[in-house]
Amino acid sequence: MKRLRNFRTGGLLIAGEPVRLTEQARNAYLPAIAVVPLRQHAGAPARCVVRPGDRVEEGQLLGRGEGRASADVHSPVPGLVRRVSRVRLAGGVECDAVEVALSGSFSRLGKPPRLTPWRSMQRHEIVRAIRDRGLVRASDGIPLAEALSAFEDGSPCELIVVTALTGEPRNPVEVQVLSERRENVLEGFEMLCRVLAPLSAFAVFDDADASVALAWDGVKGSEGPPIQAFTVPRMFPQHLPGRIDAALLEARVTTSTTRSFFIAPSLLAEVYEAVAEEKPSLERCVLVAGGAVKTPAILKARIGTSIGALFEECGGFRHTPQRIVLDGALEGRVCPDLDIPITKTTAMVLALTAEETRTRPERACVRCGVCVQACPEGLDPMRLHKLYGKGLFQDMRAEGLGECTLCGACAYACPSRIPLAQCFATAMKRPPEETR
Amino acid sequence: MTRNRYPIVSAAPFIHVGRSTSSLCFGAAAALLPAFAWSSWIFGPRVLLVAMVSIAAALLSEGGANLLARRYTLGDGSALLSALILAAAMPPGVALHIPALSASFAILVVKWSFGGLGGNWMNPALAGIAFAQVNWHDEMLGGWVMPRILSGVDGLSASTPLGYLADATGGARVSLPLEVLKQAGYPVSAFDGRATGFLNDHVFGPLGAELPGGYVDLALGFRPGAIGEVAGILLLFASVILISRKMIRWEAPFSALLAFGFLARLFGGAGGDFMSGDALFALFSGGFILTAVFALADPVTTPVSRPALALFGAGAGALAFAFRRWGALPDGSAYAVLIMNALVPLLDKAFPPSGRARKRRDA
Repeated sequence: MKRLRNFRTGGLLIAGEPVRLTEQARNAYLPAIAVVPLRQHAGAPARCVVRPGDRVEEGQLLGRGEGRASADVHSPVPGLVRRVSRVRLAGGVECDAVEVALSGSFSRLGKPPRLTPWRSMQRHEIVRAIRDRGLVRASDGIPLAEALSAFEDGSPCELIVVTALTGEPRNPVEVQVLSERRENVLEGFEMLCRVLAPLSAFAVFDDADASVALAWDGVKGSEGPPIQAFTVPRMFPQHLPGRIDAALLEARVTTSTTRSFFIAPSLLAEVYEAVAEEKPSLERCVLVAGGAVKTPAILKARIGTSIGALFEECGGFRHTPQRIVLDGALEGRVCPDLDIPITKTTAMVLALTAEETRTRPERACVRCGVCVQACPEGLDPMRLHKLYGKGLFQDMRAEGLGECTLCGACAYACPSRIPLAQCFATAMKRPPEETR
Repeated sequence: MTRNRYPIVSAAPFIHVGRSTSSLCFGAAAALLPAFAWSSWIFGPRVLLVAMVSIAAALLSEGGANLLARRYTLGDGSALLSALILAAAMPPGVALHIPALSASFAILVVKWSFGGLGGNWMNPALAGIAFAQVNWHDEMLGGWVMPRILSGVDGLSASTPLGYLADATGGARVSLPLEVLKQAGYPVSAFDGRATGFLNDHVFGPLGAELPGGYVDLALGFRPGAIGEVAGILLLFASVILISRKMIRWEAPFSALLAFGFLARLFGGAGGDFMSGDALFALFSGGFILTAVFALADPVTTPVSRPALALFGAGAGALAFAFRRWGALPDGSAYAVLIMNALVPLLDKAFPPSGRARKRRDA
């Protein structure tokens, strides 16, 4: 097992211990009404195929994915379709959602799974199974089947990287999946190897999880290459593919032309369920944490459960939360209310106290340079912000705006509380030909 | 579904390291307070009055500028810090209108005419000091007071060791300034004798060295001098705390003190003697430590990258030495730093802060 160096410049040591959990992941209560958004992926919303009053089975198709980066949506619970309503998702995005009132009996939950003999399946059959079950990559919302098809153009995938690193350095979900559902993850990995036929496979861990890394080092399934485990220092943003690529490149285990595929352990477990158990994407392991939560926990929640229900199940709030945030305190999105439903890409919900957000008034830049020191891409956020203030978006691109990953390390460190990442996100949305 | 209990007008990241610009300013100001307390014991409580007047003038100016600019920045602490640094460079016996007007000049002209904190290219406190030295030359160079511990009485006017030395030698340079001062009848405290004896017996003696009398007085501030700059050892202590808590960056102050001390050792001696200067005397007899620790640590008026900061500090140290050695004023540290302030854009261009910009420069 080798230790990699992931940051040449920049990076942050995020204060705080990983979230201490008192128990293993447990099932959350089923929602009485599941609000299932038709857009749980990066592309266009799925086309609704049910009508109010329809009776749906657990796992029945609710929406058909159409176009690029769009995925099928299935009913997480059996019941009656109440209506199709507008919901607001985290970050202020709105989309249609199918409301399913829970009733009737489950066809899968609580019953032993019927296993499909997948080892006799062809490559394209596995990809089709993944597509039909609506699997979506949580990190960017791209449907997994679409991400896999990128390697069909004759330049095969050479390397699978299983990454247990998350955008929230304190989120233990991925590591927990790796240790608790070892068999499923490994079988999912074998399925992926059948599809991609990689030459090698790596698994990347945080230094703090070295014991799990050790347990996975050298593991070889009946299909695919043996897994080689690596650890990286605990620095934010260690999870970005660019950082992992750079670390692997520096360790000379890859070259700059290596075609690699990054996948999270939880998605591997979902691949196993989708292919072997024919189970669509119906639930997510969600970390419920933050200083305001009474007892942080990992809950296995059905899609469409409201985040408020999850907080309630964790004992409610110990302190008044100042912000409710989805998917990480550094890169996540803010929730306007507690009715926001869990989707396929939800990794965690956080209720942050004022002590954690530490909001202060924004002040002028004093050129202290901590943002420059924090930037993992070696950019100069100070200068970018100055250009932003003048509206010189073209000059910002010349200064490397395109390399910014919006990780937020600069804004996290800025003593003047300048919302640097937000400014850069706004500037990126400007059309390239615009100069002011 | 229409409830909006948590503000949506906020973007990632949602947590913060916790440091704020105002906490840095107030922290640096707090680090100056021991020097003021010590000074009020040495020179009497009037030094606190000088500090109060300077602070009041600075805060009033800042508040007035805020009203005009409709931007409220009194809470950021920068005006308070500038006022304290300015007061620290004033003689204890200074007339009160001098700190008042200088502080107003520093805040209104130097800082706010460029847009407030972050916009100024000159360090406001140092510009205020320069303003005072130019406008009230005699008061600024003559309001010195002999410490009570040396004279036994309050408010006895005196000249600083540097001024005294210049008078005693007629401006000629000497290699052993303390010897000359002693022969010229410059007072040394009884504590200095005891402390020097103790240090020689237990620290320097075993090492085969001997500390001459007078240095302990200099380091502790038992000498006529400006309010905040006399206790050099307290200022150095404050800098260690500020640097270890990462509230200021070490590169500029360190290289400035190093350059100043090194040049004083090389060229500070009598006549053409090389390597015969007294670096300790040079550092502790003027106001350079105050300038180096507090003015060179101001991020607004200093470069960003490490090599640029080191060069900036070394330049300030070298100029400060040159002004003292060959210049008209006994202590020209403020002017040295102001000149270097003007070079900051050049330094930033030559040594860009980000790795990307460096790559482009080298390409």
